[in-house]
Amino acid sequence: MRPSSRWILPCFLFLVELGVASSAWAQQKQVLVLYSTRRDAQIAVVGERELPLILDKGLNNEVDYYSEYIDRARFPNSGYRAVFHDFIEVKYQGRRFDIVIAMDDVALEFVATNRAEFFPETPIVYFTNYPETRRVANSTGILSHLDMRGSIDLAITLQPDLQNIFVVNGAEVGNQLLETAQEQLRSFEPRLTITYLTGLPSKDLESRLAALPARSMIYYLTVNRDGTGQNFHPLEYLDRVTAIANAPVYSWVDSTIDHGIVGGNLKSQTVETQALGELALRVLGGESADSIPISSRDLNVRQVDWRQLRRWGINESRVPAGVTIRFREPTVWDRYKVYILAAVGLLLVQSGLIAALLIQRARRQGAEAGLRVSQTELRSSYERIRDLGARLLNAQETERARIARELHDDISQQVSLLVIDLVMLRGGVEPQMKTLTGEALSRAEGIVKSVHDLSHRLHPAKLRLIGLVPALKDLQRELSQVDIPIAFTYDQVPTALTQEVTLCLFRVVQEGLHNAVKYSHAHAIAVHLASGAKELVLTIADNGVGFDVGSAMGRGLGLISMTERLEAIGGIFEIRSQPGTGTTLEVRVPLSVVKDTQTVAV
Amino acid sequence: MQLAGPSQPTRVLLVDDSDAMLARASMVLSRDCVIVGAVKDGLAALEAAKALRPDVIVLDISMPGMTGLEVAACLRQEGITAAVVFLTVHDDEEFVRAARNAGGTGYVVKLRLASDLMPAVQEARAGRTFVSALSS
Repeated sequence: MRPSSRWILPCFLFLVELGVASSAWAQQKQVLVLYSTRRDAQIAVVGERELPLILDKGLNNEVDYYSEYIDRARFPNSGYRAVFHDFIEVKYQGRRFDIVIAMDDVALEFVATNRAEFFPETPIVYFTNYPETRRVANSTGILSHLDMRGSIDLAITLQPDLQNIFVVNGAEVGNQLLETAQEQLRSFEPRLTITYLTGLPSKDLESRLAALPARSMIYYLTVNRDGTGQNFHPLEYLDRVTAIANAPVYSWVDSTIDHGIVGGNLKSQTVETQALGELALRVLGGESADSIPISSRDLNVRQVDWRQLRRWGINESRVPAGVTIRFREPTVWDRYKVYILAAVGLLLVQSGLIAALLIQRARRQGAEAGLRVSQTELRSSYERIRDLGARLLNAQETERARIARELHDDISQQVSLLVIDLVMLRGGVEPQMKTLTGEALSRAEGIVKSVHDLSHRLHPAKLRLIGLVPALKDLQRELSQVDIPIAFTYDQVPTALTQEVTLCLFRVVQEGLHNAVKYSHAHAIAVHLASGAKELVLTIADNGVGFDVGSAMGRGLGLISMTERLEAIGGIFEIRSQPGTGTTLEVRVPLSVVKDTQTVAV
Repeated sequence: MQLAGPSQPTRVLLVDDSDAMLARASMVLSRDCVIVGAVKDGLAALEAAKALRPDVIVLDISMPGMTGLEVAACLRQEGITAAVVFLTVHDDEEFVRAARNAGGTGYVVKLRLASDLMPAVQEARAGRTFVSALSS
């Protein structure tokens, strides 16, 4: 490839690109935005952010965008104005703008003054805060009314005891804000005392603001320059003011909202700029500027800074409906709602569980108490029954003894007398009557015998009169049978035994022998009564068939009454038996019981 | 002091809670004996025995209060040497043994009062024993 041919294609392509670019350039809209402020003033910042976006979007990026800043606050002298005029003249010589956007009155004034020279055919779009601003030819704009009264009204709502307003403004000349404030705030006098702190040296202003009387507020207009001639960015200056002030600060424009002010009815610069951009697009789209009426719009938004409410101890409930609360920090509740709810829920569940456990425990204790009560009742009822049983046995014995004694001592005695008399009479009667007398005698003797036997069965008189051993011997004799001999042995039996012990042991032997004879099929029964060191021991043993002690206990009335009788005198008894092994009944009565209640019973 | 001798009639104290029985005993004995007293319980018997110094005491066993057996034991403890003849309805060997243990020298079943009491008292006076024939 030849060296020259290497450059042909790139050069061609460059020319093509240049052609495309120049044709596009011809269709571009030339836009000049002129600000009244310094480049970093908030209105300029917002404007430079919003306007290019809106214009690019509306014009499909076909925009050649320029912006200039008059900064009248820092450069108030007329010399600067002349130089600025020359700068614009030189800079934009031969350039024809499709639209000039004048941001606020200073810019509009410059455009109006130099219209014929720089922008003879160019339509003007502007915004102003002041209704008295004069509309120029081939222009349209937005009048956004400043509602300073609205800010003060809001302040009064938030601080009902408000008495003093301190209006802060800088030393810059030609500031219409001050005039507007004086005009609008006049209506609050004399109810509120209004003090204008205008053009003070910063040091003086700060010492004033740090020591304001109670029930005060500060209304911040703008400070570009202080009384000593030092220049400031108005928002940076506001930061200083809000930092040092001992009263809440309010203002009029929304650029101030994040700089320590409580709030106010604040003009939205963003909405204002956007509206201006839309208006510019209409004009650029071909509408005649003059045909579009000046739109008077309320761009103010009532708003408060939640953090500042907290700072000044203003209750949020005072904030009227419709006022936007900004910068609200999420509370602990907002931030951890889920966790708090979960924790509380868990706590409630735990509390519920604990409560349920406590209730259950209380119920169980109640049930246990009830059980104890019923056990006690059962025991006392059992004791009553046992006591009753003992009483019944006792009553029965007493009654039997009484009847036995009646029979023996009275009836037996009477019949004995009858016999005696018959015997005495027998010698004196006729011989033929002797047989009859003899019959009467033997009948009377038979009655004596019968009564004696009956009495003995009811209650052996021997027990009381001559003691246990003779009575037991009688039993032995009475119950012995030819095929079941009963042996009775005794050893060291005390002579002095109480009636109760004597009777009890007698009845036990009677019952035991009766059972043995009747049920055991024994071939021999042995009764032994002996006195040990501390107790009287009675055994009744047979060599019979035996029985299952466990199943027999508590069934037979005999065994029950045996138990009852023995318990009454502190004795115990034991039955040793198994089917096929015979039965041994062993009774033990403590001798202390026997001796303590000794009575003479020979 | 009155000395007991064969020439003198036997002095007898009767002890029984039944008036009728006392009357029968008195009727049977009064022909040959002197009835020095008739009382109806054990305590009265002890007092009368001390005061009247009978030769023989005819003593019932079943009485209200002290039994005759107890009265006999007390008499021995008191040093009263009068012979005791039990007069009782108890027609029983065990009672006879108990009566003997209590110091009795005679044992008369009441059914045999008419025939046996007088001999029993006489035997007792003579220092010998007498026991009615028992039916059982």
